[in-house]
Amino acid sequence: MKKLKPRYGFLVDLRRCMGCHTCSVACKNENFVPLGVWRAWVKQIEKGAYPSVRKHFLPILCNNCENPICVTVCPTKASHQREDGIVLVDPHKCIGCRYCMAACPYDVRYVSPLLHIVQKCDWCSHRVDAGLKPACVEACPADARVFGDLNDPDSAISKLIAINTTQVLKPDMGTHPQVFYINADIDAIDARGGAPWMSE
Amino acid sequence: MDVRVIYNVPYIIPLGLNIAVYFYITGLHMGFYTTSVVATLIGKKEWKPIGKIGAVGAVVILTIAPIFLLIDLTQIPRFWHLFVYLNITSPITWGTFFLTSYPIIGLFYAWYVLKGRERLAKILGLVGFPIAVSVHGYTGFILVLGKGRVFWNASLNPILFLVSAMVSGLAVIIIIANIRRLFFAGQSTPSEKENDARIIDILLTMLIIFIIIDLVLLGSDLAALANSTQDAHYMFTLLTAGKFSFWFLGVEILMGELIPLIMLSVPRIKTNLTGQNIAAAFVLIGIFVMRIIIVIGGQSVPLH
Repeated sequence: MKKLKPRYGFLVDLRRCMGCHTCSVACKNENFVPLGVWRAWVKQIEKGAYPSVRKHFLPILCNNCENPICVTVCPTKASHQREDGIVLVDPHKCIGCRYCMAACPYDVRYVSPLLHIVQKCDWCSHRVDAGLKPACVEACPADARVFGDLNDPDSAISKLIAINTTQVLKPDMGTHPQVFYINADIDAIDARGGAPWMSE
Repeated sequence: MDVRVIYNVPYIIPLGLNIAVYFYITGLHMGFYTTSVVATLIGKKEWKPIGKIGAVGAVVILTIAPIFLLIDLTQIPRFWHLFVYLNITSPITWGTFFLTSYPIIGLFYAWYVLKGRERLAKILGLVGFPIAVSVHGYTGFILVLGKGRVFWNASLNPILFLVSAMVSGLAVIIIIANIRRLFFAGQSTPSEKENDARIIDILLTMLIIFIIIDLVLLGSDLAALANSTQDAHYMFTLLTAGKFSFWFLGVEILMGELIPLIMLSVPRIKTNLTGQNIAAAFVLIGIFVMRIIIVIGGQSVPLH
């Protein structure tokens, strides 16, 4: 059978995540992410009342969507998609119009306070190109983050997606996000979880 | 269920006041130009001042508008990338074409209108009309492609933008035309004064019609928001009972549309210069607030 070109994907196994934020720190360190902005972070919520109470985590990062709206709307083609699916922002082309940020349904982009251009998680494409894993995957002490080739049926990510119930964020947006979650909590996914809108 | 967020990164609103002002100004431009072209096509002497006000106003306004876009960029010196790295799927790229091509046609059109070369003015007016509409119309598409924002990603938005542009454009033309009437009051003959009053009355009737269409579109927008997805319902609540309710219901709808509508339905106010100007000023404020609500309010539904 002809081997397909790689199409990278990302999986977060929330049965393993313990909300230690090591991924966020590793990302900041690897990508020189300035203070006050994040490429990847872990949302934490607390649900229930004692004794039935529990913390739930939702690591958030760019979904490097199959059908990225940021690439569609970028007026200078600074936001572009590689053949392997990774969505990048060309730092030399970005004019900082921030239309990509306004159009992204996941709000995972930011304006760099140092470079004054839009930046985002690109699954550490520089490391991937060198045959390494993204920094957050490498650093996760619980092996909750898995990165790999979705077109390779033998990759760890393909196997995990095949045998587990997975979900993506906002599938109704038609962006086909490529970050998959196992065991994600519905209230952690909800942007207004814990903030009852009627009281605002 | 008791749910508390313990940690999350701050939610930011990427596009702000500059963009809202830009949308407002391009709206005024469309109103100016359309009214001017209609006046030029009518071709009668008494309509000429309106044609001139609209033609000059459109050029002046569209000279100011791109400044707000430019200063909003975080990399201002790179604005030329818009002309070099074109992305045809981006409404901003469409806007780059419209904003560059319109001033050329608009300048020639204004020149022919001012010089009284009617035939050329009519031809250029018609040729430039689709571009003039697109200069504002594309901003509606900017919103539509913002698929993460429920208040933006509505098919009605481009139409709503065009209608509200006509509302604000007509309102500002009415005010300028009234100032002109006052200015030339001493030099005008009674028949000229009568003609001016008749034209203002027609413009006011057009304003009433466009306000009604605007209200209908806003009504259907609200109905869809109230009965659609969870995000849509949240947006509906922000507009009707949340932090934008005063601005939306009080300023945009009541002050900007309903009060002018009621005022202009009373013949005594409709024929009174002060009444006309107050109604038009209310409309202008209302549409300005509408642009702010749609740009900033539209990004106020948290996404993560």
